[in-house]
Amino acid sequence: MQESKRFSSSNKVLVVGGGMGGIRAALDLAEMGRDVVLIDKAYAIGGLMTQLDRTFPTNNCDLCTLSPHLSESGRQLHIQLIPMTQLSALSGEAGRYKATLTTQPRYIDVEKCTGCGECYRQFPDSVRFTPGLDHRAPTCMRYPQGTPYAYSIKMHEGIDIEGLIRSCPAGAILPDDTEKVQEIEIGSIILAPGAEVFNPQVLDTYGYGVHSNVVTSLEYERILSASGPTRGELVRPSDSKTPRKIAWIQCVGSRGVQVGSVPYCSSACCMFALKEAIVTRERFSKDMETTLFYMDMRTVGKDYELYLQRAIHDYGVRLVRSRPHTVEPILEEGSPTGDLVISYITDDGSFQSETFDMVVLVTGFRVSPEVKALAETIGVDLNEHDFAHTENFDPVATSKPGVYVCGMFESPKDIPDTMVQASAAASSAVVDLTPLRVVATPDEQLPPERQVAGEEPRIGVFVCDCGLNIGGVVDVEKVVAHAAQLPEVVLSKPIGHGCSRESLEVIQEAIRQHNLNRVVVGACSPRTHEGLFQDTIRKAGLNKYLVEIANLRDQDTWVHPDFPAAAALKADELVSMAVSSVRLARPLTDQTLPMNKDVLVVGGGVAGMTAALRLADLGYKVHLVERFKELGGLARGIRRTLQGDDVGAFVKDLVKRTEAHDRIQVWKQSMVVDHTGMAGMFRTGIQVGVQMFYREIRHGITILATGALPTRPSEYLSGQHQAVTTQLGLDTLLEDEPEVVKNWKNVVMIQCVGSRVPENPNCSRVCCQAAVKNALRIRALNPEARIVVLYRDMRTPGFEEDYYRQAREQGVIFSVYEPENKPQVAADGDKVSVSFIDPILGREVDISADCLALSTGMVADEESTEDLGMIFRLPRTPDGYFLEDHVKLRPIDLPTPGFFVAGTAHAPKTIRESIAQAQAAAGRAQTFLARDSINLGAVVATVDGNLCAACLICVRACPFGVPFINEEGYSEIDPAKCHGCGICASECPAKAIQLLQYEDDHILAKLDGLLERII
Amino acid sequence: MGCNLAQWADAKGLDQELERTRRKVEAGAGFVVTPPVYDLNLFRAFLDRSRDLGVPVIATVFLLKSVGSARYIATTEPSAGISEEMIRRIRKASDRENECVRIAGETTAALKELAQGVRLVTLGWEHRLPAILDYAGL
Repeated sequence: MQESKRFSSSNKVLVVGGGMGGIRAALDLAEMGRDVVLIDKAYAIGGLMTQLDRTFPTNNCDLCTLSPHLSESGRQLHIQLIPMTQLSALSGEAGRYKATLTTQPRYIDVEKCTGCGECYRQFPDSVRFTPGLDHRAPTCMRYPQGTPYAYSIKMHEGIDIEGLIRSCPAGAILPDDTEKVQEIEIGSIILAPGAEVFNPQVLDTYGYGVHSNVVTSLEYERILSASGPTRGELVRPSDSKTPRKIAWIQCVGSRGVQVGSVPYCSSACCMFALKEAIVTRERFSKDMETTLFYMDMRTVGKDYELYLQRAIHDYGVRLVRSRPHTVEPILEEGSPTGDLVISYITDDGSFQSETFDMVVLVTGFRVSPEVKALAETIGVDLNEHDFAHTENFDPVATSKPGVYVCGMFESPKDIPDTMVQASAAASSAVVDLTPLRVVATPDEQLPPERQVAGEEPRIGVFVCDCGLNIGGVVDVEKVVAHAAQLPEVVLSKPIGHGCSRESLEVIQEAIRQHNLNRVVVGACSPRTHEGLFQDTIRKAGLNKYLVEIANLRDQDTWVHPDFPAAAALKADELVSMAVSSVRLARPLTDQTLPMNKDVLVVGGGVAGMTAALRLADLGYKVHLVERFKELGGLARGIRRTLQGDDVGAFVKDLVKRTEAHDRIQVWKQSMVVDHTGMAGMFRTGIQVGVQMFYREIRHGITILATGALPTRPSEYLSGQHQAVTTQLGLDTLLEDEPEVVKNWKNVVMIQCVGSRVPENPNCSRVCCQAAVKNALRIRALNPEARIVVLYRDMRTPGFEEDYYRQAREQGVIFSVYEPENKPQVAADGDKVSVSFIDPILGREVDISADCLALSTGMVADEESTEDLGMIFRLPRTPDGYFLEDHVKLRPIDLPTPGFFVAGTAHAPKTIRESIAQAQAAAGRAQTFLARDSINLGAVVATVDGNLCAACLICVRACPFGVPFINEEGYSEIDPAKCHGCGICASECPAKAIQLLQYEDDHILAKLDGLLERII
Repeated sequence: MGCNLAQWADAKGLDQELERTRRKVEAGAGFVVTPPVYDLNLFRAFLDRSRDLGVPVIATVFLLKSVGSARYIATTEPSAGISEEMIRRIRKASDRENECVRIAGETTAALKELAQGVRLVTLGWEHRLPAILDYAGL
C-alpha cells in the first residue's frame, strides 16, 4: 500500500555538504516547510565559494546577497546544522532511511563561543580558521558571518590545555570533547559534497611547488582577495614585487594528456580564468599584460560569450590558442630571478617562448577520495570519472532511490548550475517525504509587541563598519558621535558587522536595556538587509516598522571611496535623515491574504511538462498553457541525445503522463493575454483554442517555460541545396534513413552558424555536442566516410568531452576557422563544395561533401518573450531571454516574486539542463506554495474620509483600479488589493490619502533631517 | 433569423461558402454575419461578391488581445487578413492592450460606412467595450 508507506515516511532530509549547493538545497527545503539536517565535514559552512574574491560574470563580491540567509532568520528554524560531521552509514530505503552521523570533536561549545578570537590570538597554532573566513583579518570584508559563528580547536600533543581554557572569556573550551555518533531518521538525502581542486605538483613540466611564482588559479584568487594573505595587494610570492605580465595556463589537470590528469573538462575554469584576468586589469592597472593559453574557450553559460568578448575587446586580455609544454625559471648568475619562460607551439606549428612575471595554472576539479568512500558507504553508483552516476532525463537522481545529488559531485560546473541543481535536488527530495506536512511548523516564540504609542521617542543608533566597506572610507566613531548629539537619540554605538549573529544580539540587548522604541542602523542596503533588522527588533519586542536603515554603504562609501571627507559628511546626513524619519515611525500591522496554491505553467515543452508533473504529483493543481496544437516543444524534433538516449520515447511518455494527469489542466492552442495581481493571488487571462474564448485563471505562482526557437540563418546554401541540412535534420536522417548515410564519402559540419555572430552574439550551447553526437553516429554507420568539423572552439564541457575525444580517436577531423575567414560553400551538382583554410597546412582545402550539416543553434522567440514580458511586466536580456533575479545566485527566480523560469526561455541549454531547471523551478515554486498566507506588508494607502472630496482623482490614477467611492461618499482603498505604489497618495489634491510607512510627515521629517543645517 | 459565414481560405473556398450561404438565405436567413474583419480591402472585395445575396451584412469585429493572439490568427488563419504591419503596430505601441482596443474601434468606425451592422466580439474583455465605442466615435 503506497499510502501507508508514505504516511510512515520521515519528513526530514539530510543534506551532506555545506557549500553553495548544500546551503541552497537546505534553504529551499526549509522554506518549503521541511526539516533539514545539514552536515559538513568542515567546522563552518560555505565551501569553495567563500574563498573566491569575485564571481563572474558580474565581477561582484556576491556573498552579501546570500549572507543574510545564513545568519539567524525564521527560515533556519527548520535547519539543524551539524558541522565537523560525516555520514558514516546508511540503512533503510527511500522515505525511511536511517543515517549514522559521526561528529569530530570541536573542543569548543558552539553555544557559548562568541567568536571573540581570544583563543586564536593566544594559541594561533591550535585554533583553526579558514582563509576567507577569518573575520579578524585587517581588511576582511568577505565573510565574517561564519556559520556557526565559533572557533574550533586542533588538539595536539604538547598543547597547553589549561592555558587555552583560561584564554576563553566565555568558558567555551571543552577539553574532553569526543567523537560523537548519532543515528537519525530521514526520508531522503541530498549529496552536495563538492569537489577538490587538482594539485598540479605531479606535473613536472610546469614547476608548481618548485618555482614560487607558479601558482594555482585558486591561490591567485586568494592573492586578489582583500582577506587573503597579501591583503588584496597583487604581489608575486617570490619577491613581493607587483607582476606586470601574467600568464594563465588553462586545462591544467583536465582534458588530459598530462600525468595525473583527468580526461573530462572541468567546465568552470575558462570563465574563472577570464574573470581573474579581467579583474587584474580592472582593479590594478590597464598596463598589466594578461595572457591566457587555452585549448578551446568554453564560455557556454548564459551571456558568458559576451563576457569573453568583453575580456578581449574591452579589457585587452590576450588569448593564445596553445597548450604550453613547459614553464622554466630564468636564472641570473645561477640563481632564479623569479621570472618564468613559457614555451609553446602556436596554431601554425611554430615554436615560441615568452617571459612572464608570474604564471597561474588554471586547475580543474575532481572527486576526492573521501567522497568516493562516501558513495561506496551508501551504495551510490559512480561513473567512470568517479562522479555520481545520473540519467539524462532525471539529472539529480543517483542510482539509489531517495538519494539525490547536486553541484560538483554530479559533474564539474559553475555556481549558477550548482544553484539550479540544488533547487532541483530539493524539489526531488520532497517527493520521497510525507506529502502533507504532518509535523507542525515550529512557530517562533515572539515576545508580545510593546506598545510605544504615546511614548517619547527613545532612538538607538547602530553604525556598521562592514569590515572596511564603510569603516575604510568614513570614521565610524565620528558618525556615532554625530548621531549621539541628535535629539532623542539615547544610545549611539558602533556595531562592526551589524548583520552578524553576535551584533544582532547586541542590538536586541540594547533595546531591552535602554528601553529603546526606535532604531536606526547605519548599514548597507535595505534591499538585502531590511528584513533581517526588522526581524531583529521584532524579537526584542518592537514593532518591525520602527527601524530605519541609513544606507551608508551602497549609497555612500561604495560610490565615494575616493572622497572620504565628502563621504563622511554624507554619512552624517544620511544618519540625520534616518533619525528624523524614524522619530515619526508608527507601529504598523502587515496585511495577509490566503495563498492560492494553484500553478500556472506557460509553455508545454520538456521544461514546462516536467515542472507541471512534479507539482501535480505533489498535489498542486496546475494549468499548463501551450500555444501550439501539441505538447513537446523543441524536443519533438530531437531523436537522440549525445549519450544515445531515445528523446522521442521520453517526450512521448512525458506528453502522455501530462495529458492523463488529473491535476493538470492542459490548455492547447492557448496564450496569455492579460495578467494582474501578485504572488499568491495572480489572475491571468488566456485565450483558448481556435474559438479563442477567454478564460481567467487564478493562481499563486507562475512558471515560464516558453522555450526558444531554432536559428535558421540563410548562409552556406541553407535551405537551397539538398545536400545542406542542420544538425537536427541530420539527427532525423540518421534515425530514419541510415542507408543514405552509408553511401556518403565526405561529410562536413560547420559550427557556430548563426551563433557567436553580431546578429546573435551568444553561444547556443548545444551545437558542439550535437556535431560530436552526429559525427559519432555517422562513423558507426559508415566507418569509411571522411568527417570534417569546422569549428571556432569545441565546447563540450564536463563529460561531453569524452565524446569529443572519442570522435577524434575515431578519425573525425576537427579544423579551426576564424570568423573573419569563414568556410566557403558552393553547389556542386548533388554535392556541395566546401573550402576552408587548414591552419596546420596553412593553405586552402576543398572538399566535395555529400552532406553539409550546419550547426545552427537557438535564438529567443523575441516576439513572444517580448509580449509575455509586457503582459507579466518582466525584464529580458538584450537578446530576448527572460532575465533572472540574480545571474549567479538566483538563476530560477525572476525579479517579480512568484515568477520562475525554466528551460530555454532562460538561455540555450541541453535537455538535461532544461529538466534540472524545471525540477528546480518546481522546487522554488513550493517555497511559495507551502505558505498558507501571503504577507502583503504594511505599505498600503489609507484614506481620511473627513478630508476626501470624492473628486475621483485617485480612482482614475490607480493603475490597479483599487479605489472606489463608498456608500458614505468618500474614497475607499481595500488594503488587500493595494499594491502600495503611492500614486494615489501623491495625486490626492486634498492630501486625504497617506501611504503607510511613507506618510507625509515622515518624509518631511526626513528632509528636515537632511536640510537642518542649511535652513 | 440570420446565419454565419465561416472563414474561407482562398477564392475557391469563398465561392463554396457563398454558395452555402445562398442556400441558407433561400431557407430563410434574413442577414449574414461575417468572420472577423481585419483588412478593409479584403472586406470590400467580399462585399462585391456578397451583394447578390440580397440580405444585410453584419461584419464581425474581433478584439485582438495581444501580439500573441494576433500572431496566432495570422499563422492559423492567414486568409483572415492580419498583416505584419498590424502586428508591428501593436508591438510598437507603448500600451499594447489599448492599441488593440483602438484597432477594434477604428475598424468598427470604418465598417459603419460599409456594412449594415457590426458585431463586436470581445470574449472576456467586455470591460473594454466602452473604449472600443469611444475609438469608433460612437
